[in-house]
Amino acid sequence: MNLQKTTCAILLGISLLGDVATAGDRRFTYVYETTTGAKGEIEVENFATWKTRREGSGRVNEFDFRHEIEYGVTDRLQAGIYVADWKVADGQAIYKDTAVELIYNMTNPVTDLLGSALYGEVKLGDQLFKLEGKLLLQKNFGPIVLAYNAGIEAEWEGARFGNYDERSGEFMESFGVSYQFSPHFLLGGEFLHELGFDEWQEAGDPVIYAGPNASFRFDRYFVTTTAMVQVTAVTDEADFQWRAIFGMHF
Amino acid sequence: MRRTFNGAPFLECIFEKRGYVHKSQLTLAGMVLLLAGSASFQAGAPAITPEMTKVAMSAGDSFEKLEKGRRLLATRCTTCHALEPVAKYTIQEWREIVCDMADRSGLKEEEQQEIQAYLNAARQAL
Repeated sequence: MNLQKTTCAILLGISLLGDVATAGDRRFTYVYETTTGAKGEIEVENFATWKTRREGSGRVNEFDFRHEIEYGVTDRLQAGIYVADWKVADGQAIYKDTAVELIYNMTNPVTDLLGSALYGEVKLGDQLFKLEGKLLLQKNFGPIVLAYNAGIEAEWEGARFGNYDERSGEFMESFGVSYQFSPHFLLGGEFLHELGFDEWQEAGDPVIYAGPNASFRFDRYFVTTTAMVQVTAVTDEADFQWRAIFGMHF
Repeated sequence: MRRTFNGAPFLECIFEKRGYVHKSQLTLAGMVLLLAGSASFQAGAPAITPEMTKVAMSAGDSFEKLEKGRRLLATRCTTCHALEPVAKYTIQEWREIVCDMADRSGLKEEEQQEIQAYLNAARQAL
């Protein structure tokens, strides 16, 4: 089966899963919230990310896509699978990796003084292996929601599967604020700070992004989108990125 | 500009020396959140009062059922949206809202009844 057929099969499978999905509407696209789906609940989310940066006199654009299925194992533990992370380059869809994530909710952002959760992710591709851990914090003040994530990831890369000759680490933190104008429309902003460590030896320049986000909720689906500009001046990183998450239920 | 460090001081590098994250800022932000948090919860899902318990008992519901209903309302509904004031809708309107949202929020029949019992008691006790 070639790549295009594989991609079509994945998309078809996801669309069929929509029959049993109840989307937990996201307020943010980069920041994770501490709440998890109820036991037995299935959610489907589709991500699209566009990153662009200057290179010489032109620009380099990158389009990434992700299809995620989340399942409530218990009322506090949620498992998720990134069925496929893929990108479009030169008009071709190229598979990148598949990942599994676990989110364990420890405290609730409404009933407890501070909502908290632990996030773990294992990602495997034909050219990379990645481990990621995060602490998620959140507090809801009625229509206002504040969320903060901090985490570390370790990544091994190589020319082919199992032969990883490069390793790197990254510390990241993100912050989001969202205000609910109505149950159908929320507006806010997100902040992202990344600090890479090549070979776990040297810290690169910190990269900081910030920008507005909006979330639209409808009867059977939601769309949340964020546009962020780089507020630092690291030239080999994207100077603008945009992400949209489309969730649906039937 | 490159920053170097050696193994062990990794976290120190992030949290202290380089000043990427200041502990004092995090502590202050955390305290503000902790203080302001409980107030918003009380406004959205009022605490169970003796009047509410009396209303519930007369309808054949228990205090425990009210507690479960309140917790479900505050945890499951707020995953997607802020809580509406109890006084905003009539009992009949709340019944329709809970029924309407049950599928979306994955509420089982028993959980719907618990939320409805809490809302009935809270609305009548106003």
